[in-house]
Amino acid sequence: MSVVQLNFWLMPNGDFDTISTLQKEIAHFEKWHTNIHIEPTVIPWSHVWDRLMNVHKHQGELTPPDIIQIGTTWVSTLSYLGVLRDIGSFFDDAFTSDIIAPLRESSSSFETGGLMSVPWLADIRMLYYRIDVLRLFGFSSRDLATTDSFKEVCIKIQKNRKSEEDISAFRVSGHSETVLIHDLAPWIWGNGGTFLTSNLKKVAFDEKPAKEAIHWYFDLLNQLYGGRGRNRKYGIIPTGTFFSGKYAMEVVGKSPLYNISNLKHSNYSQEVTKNYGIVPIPKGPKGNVPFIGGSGLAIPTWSRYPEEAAEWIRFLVSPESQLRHGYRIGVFPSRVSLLEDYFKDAKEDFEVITSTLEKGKSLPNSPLLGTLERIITAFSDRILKSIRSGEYSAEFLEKEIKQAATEANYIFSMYI
Amino acid sequence: MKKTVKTRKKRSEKNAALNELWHIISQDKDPDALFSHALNMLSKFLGKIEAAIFVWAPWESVLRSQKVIRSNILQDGDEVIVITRESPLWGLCSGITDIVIERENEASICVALRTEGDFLGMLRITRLAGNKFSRINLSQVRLFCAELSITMNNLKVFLQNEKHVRQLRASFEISSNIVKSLHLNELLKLVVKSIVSHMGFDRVRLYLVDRKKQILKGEVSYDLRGSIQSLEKEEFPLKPRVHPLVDHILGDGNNFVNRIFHDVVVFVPLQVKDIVVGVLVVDNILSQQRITLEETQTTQSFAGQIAMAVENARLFEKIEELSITDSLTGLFVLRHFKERLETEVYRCKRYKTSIALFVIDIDDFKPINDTYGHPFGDLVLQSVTQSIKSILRQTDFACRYGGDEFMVCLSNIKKEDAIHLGLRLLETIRMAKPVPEAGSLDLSVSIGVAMFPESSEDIEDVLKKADQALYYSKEKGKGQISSWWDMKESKDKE
Repeated sequence: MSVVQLNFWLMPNGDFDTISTLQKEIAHFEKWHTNIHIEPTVIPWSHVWDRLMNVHKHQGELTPPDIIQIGTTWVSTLSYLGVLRDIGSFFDDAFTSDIIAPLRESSSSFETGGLMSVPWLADIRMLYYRIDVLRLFGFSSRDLATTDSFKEVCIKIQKNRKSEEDISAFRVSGHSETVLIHDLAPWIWGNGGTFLTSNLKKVAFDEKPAKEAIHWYFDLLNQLYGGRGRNRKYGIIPTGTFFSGKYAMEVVGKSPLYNISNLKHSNYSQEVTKNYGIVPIPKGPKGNVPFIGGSGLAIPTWSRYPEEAAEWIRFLVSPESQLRHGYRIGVFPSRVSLLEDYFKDAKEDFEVITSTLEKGKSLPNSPLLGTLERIITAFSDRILKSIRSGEYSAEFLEKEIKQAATEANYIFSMYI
Repeated sequence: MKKTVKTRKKRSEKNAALNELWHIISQDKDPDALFSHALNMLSKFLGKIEAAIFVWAPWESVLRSQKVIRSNILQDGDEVIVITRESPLWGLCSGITDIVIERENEASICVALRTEGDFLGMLRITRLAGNKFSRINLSQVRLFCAELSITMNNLKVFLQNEKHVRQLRASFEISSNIVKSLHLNELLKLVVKSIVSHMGFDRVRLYLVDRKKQILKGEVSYDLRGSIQSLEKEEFPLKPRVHPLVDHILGDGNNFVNRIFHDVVVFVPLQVKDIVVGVLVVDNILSQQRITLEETQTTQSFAGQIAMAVENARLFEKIEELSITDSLTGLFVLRHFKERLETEVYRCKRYKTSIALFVIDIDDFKPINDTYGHPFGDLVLQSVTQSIKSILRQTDFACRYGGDEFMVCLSNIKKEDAIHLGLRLLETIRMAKPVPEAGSLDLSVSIGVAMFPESSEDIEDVLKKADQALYYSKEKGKGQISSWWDMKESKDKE
C-alpha cells in the first residue's frame, strides 16, 4: 500500500512548542490511517501569507502545501483570489451547524457562501483581569461592566505606576506596539458603529458611532501611555503579556490556564495563575459585542490529495482531538458542543464565554478586509506615534480618521 | 599515542562528513532547503544544540532568522534583531568574525556569514545545560560558516540570474503578445492578460487618454482569477485633483495612493515621445505582496512598446474606417454596404425575417451645385446624411451610393413600417436647413423601396427593384416615396 504524504503548513502556537504538541495528534491519526503521513511545517504568522501567495502565483515552481492553517479574517481574500477549494461537501450539516456561528460565517466564501475553511482554534475575546490588583485599588469585577467604569479603573491603576517594574493597567493585544482592527472592533461595535456599510461597498468607521468609539479608545491609551519618554525608552507600552504578570487587564481570546501543566510555563507568572478572573468585554452604550475570530484548516485548490486532506481535517476537528489539543496549547475549540467540557472545572468562566458567544461577532466578510486591516494599522500607528510624542489631540485623530476613510473608500471603489 | 590516532581518525571522519555535507548543500537551489540541510548537518555534527541562521537586511538594519533547529526539530524563524551601533552584535556587521557569549548555563556563539567583505548574515549556536564550545568546535564552526557563506553567495547569484532569466522570458512573451493584434480592443486584452500571467500581479487595469474629449477613459481590467472586465464606465476629466489616476497622467504622483499603497500599486504611464496616451495600473492590493523595484522596472520597460502598439492600432482602425466609410458623410462606401447587406440577407433567410432597402436621390442636386457652388453642395449632402442617420435604428445601416444617391438597409422590418420611416425621412429633409445662406431653398429627396424576400430573390434583385421604384418616384413628380410593389401594381393596371 502506498503512503500519501500530506504537507501541512501550520502556524506557531505562541507559548507552546507547535511541532511537539502536534506530533501527538499526528501519532493518533497515523495509527488509524496507515496510508497517510502528515509532514508538518511551522511557518510564522508574519511569513505564511507571503509564502501562500508565492505558491499560488508561481504554481509548479515551489513545493505546495496540501492543507493550510489560516486566520478566519483571510478566508474571504484567499477565496476571492482562487487559493481555497470549497470543502463543504466533505463535512455534514450536523458538524457545520455545531461550529461557533461567527466563525462559520467568516469561513464562508464572500461570493458563493461555500465553506472554504473549517474553523479549528477559536479566538473568543474576553477581558482578563487580576483580582488582587483590582482589590488593591478598591475595585471588583463589577467595575469592569461598562466602558466608562472600565476606563476609570484603568486610569486609577496607571496613575499609581511609578516605574517600569510596576504593573501596568491595560495591554493592547499583539506582539508589537500596534492597534489592530480586532482591537478596535468590540469598542466600535459596542457603541453602535461598524467598519463597513451594510452593502460592504464603503467604510463606515468615519461615521459618528464608530468615530466616538475610536476617540474613546485612543483617548484611553493617551491617558495611560501618552507623553514623550513617560514609560519606556523605545516604546510607550510595556513588553510582556497579561499572563507574564505585567498588566492588570488585557482583552484575550485564549486561555492557557485550564490545563494544570500549562500553569508551570516559564513565561507565566504564578501570581497571575492564582489571581485572575474573566469578564465579558465592558458594555458600551449599545451593548457588549465581543470579537470572535481564530484560525481554520483549508485545502488549497492546488492540493494533490484533497480527500486525504479532508480526512486529516475531520480528525483535527473531532471532539477528542479538539479538546486534547486545545488544552495542550491553551486555545478554545471551535465547536459549541465542546465548550462545556472544556470549562468543566471553571463553571463561572463558562458563563462568561456563553454570554460572549451569544453577543460576539466576526469582522465583515469582504475580500478587501486585508486591505482595510492594513489601512487601520497604518492609521493606528500614526495615532500611537502622536501619543508617544505627546502631540496627540482629538482634532488630530479626527483628521486622521477622515484621511483613512478616504484612502479605504478609494481602494473599495477600485474593487467592489 | 593510541588516543591521538583515535582522535585524528574521528576528526578526519568528521571532515569527510563535512565535505559530504557541502557536496549536498551546493546542489540546493532554494534558500529554505539550503538552511534546513545546513542546520540538520550542524546538529548531527555538534550534538544537542539550538541553532538559527539569520539573514542581514541592510535597508532595515535588522537580522531576520530564517530557519531554527531546536531539539532536532526544524522550524521557520521569526526572530528579528535590530542592529544599531550600540547593539552587542554590531561588531559582526563591521568586520568581526565571531562573538562568544558564555553564561552560567548557556554558551552561544554568533558567527558572521560573510563573503568578499559583504556581510550576509549570522549563524547563532547555543548550547544548553552548561555545555561549552571547545576550541576545536569553534574552529569547525568557523570553517562551516565560511563554506556556508560561499554557498549562500553562490545561491544568491544563481537566484538573481534565474530571476533575470524569468523576467527576460516574461518581457519576451509580453513583447510578442503586444504585436499580435492590430485591433485596439483585442490588443488591450492581450496586453493585460499577458502582464498578469507572466508577472504574477493581482490585477492590471488599462486606461487611455481621449484627446478629443480631454478625458481619461477606462478600457479593460484582468485579474489573477482570469476574469476580464470592461472599464468603459470609468471616465475622468483630465484636470488636476479629480482622481489620483489623472494626477499621475498630469505628472503629480504625490497623492495618498502613492503614500499608502506605493508598494502594492504601481502606475505606469504609456508614452509615445512626450505624449501620454494612457496609463497602466498594476496592483497587488488583495495579495498584499510588495511589488519589487525590478518588477516595476520590467513593467515600465514595455510601457513604450504598449503605447506604440496602442497608437498603431488606433491608426490601423482609422485607416480601416477610412476604407469602409465615405470621407464626406461618414456613411459606408458601396463595397462595404454590399458586404453588410449580404450578411443581412443571410440572416433574413435563417431567421425568416424581412429587410427593406431604400434608394434615395436628392432632387435637383445639379442646379443646387451650379447655383451655390460645390462647397455648398457638400453641406447639403452632409445635411441629408444627418437626416438619414436620425431615422436609423441600431441595426440599420446606410451608404453613399455615387454623387447624390444614398442607400439604406432597414433590418427586420415590415412593409408598412418601412414606408412609415420613409415618410418621416422625407419630412425631416424637407424641414432641414443646411446653411442659413441657402435662404428659402426647398430641399427634397425621392425614395424607392423594395423588400427582401417579399419582392426580390437576391441582393442584385432587391437593389434593382429599389432603383426602379426610385425612378417611379421621380416620374411621379419627386419628393415622394414609392415602393416596388405599388409601382408594379400600378403598371400592371396600365
